[in-house]
Amino acid sequence: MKDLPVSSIEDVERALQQHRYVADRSLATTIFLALTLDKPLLLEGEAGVGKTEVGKVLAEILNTRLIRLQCYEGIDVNNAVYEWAYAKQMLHIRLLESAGTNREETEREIYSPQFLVKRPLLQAIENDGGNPPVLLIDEIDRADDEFEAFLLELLSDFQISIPEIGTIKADKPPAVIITSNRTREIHDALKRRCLYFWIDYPSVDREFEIITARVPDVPKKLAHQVSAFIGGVRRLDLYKLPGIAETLDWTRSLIALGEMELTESAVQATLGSIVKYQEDLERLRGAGSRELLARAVNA
Amino acid sequence: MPDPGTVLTRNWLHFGRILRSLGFDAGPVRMLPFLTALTVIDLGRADDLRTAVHAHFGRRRDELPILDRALAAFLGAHGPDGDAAASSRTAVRERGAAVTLTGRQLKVLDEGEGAEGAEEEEVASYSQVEVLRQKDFDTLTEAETAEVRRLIRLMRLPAGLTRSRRARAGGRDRLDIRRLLRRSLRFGGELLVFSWKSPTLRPRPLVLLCDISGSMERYTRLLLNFAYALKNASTRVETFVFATRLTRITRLLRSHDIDAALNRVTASVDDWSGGTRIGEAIETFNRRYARRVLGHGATVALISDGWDRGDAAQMRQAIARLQRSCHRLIWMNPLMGAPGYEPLTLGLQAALPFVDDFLPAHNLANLEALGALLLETASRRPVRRQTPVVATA
Repeated sequence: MKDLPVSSIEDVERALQQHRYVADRSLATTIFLALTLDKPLLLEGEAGVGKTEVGKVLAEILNTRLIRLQCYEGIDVNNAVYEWAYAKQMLHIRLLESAGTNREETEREIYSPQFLVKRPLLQAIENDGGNPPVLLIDEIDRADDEFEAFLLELLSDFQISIPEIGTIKADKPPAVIITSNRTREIHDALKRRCLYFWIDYPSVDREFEIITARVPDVPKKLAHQVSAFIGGVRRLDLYKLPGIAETLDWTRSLIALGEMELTESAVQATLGSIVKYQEDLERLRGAGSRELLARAVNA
Repeated sequence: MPDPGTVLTRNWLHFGRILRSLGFDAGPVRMLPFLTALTVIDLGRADDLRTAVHAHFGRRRDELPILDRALAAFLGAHGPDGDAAASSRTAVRERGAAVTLTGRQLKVLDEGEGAEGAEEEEVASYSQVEVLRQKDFDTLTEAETAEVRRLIRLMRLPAGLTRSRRARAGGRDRLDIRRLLRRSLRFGGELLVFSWKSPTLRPRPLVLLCDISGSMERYTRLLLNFAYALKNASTRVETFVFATRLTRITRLLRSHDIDAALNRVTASVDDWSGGTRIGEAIETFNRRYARRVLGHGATVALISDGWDRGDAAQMRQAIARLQRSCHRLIWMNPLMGAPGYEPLTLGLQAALPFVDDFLPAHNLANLEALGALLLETASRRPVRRQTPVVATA
């Protein structure tokens, strides 16, 4: 077992709290297990429930760097692992040429680490001493199957081969957080390597805690009403339910407008912070939100 | 008396057996880290234990309740030497219940052989095939249906391709600087030979929404065979069926006979008189699945006769949204084969402005045309006019 700044579930809970991440005990338990067992943690959940935030907070807790890899369709080794600095190499070839260097030597020279552009995965593996970083592989569902297969290999032995240089292996594997929005199902083989956690929308009380932790200058009353209102919105059948990110945005917008509590005009003016589809907006406008508002204010 | 450590382990290994019997991956490779996890958490705390089980064996959210039941069944079995068989039996029963909740009709599919005599039948001659190609599916005899099905299976359907952002060597699209540099070394860094790369092509996914109400069922059966043929052409196909309720049957079609799968689904739809609610089905699709299955620029084919008993305004909203979230929306209507047919139903009238292609789907020739259309339209976007969705209160 490694020497970690956290040695129990309670430690993780406390640390999360210190870093203003309000979470259920079950998330703390899973993080604790991932750290103790050296396993990647796969977080799934709707957009905006704080999956990415876990990576950021974990890096703060472990007092180490966060290395983030944002996935997208078509991401490949050049974008994720390494690339050569071509322009620099070309200039260098010219230089060597004028100095009269022979071909083998030129080749050895220009494929040396100084011309290597390190992308996130290589950076995460190659940590010289120090704390291993936290590697956040964000929105893996956007990458394609080929990339997933590559990751699978990487996550099992934490080493990368670069043909021109050789194999680079992590002396201490990084803590890995993988997030997915479930726009497609992740392959079972990858899931098998990871610990799994589903982050749900928070309860109304929990959301209140999150608001007060993240927006410290919020009036208590407003925070209560916002969390109750959002809780009501999430019970509606909308195309896209607001996540915690939306809740926080909304709270900040209300504060920016100088609102001390929810009023109908304030809600109508700021609905765009909560729902992002025209159809959803249509439903919440007017009578739709009035009822929710009445309930939130009386709660 | 063995020491408590081994009792603990042996006991939990039994839990692993329960999970395996439920179809979870709980082999030694998975169990070992789990057992390690048990040593670092407080086993007295039920919530932590539950989380640990979720974290190790959960693969998707819908499975988590099954894990809970398995754990409850395991813990319920009394004492370390609890009756193994009994508890595993409980668990299996529990699972049955859980699956029932998610989709009664999809539970078991091994329902005999799907009346497959087609192979032995005499192969039709060319002119017979020609006649069959043009014949309305609705007027086919039993033997002809089998023959058509065989012909569909034999169809060679090249997959419609779309550009991926991934690149491969070759072509004349972009310079492959990495290779360029490596090759130039041969000539002392002089750029004499150029290397190129171009985007890879991948098959564009297809999503089928099939009406299986009443008269549509016959067509749908054959169309699903068609979907299957496409799938073999390496296109990713997602399939949904609806009458009154939308059901995803992609997984069923993966490993089982189409007819057996459809029988299962249709058998469970009991209120035929309720009529089709196409708008509602599409809306369910929009809400629940669209984000997941339309992610990679899928083409959507809706197969229905358009006899909608639902609300026309809802239909318009739903279909407009569906069109906006997919690459191309194709509506296939078997009724277009009937002479003098005009799409006059309210639902269809509402939907048509938002459909990119409105095609007949009543014979084999139509299906071939669909195959050609998918191939042809895969790489470019349809021209769409802005059609305002008028909100009706």
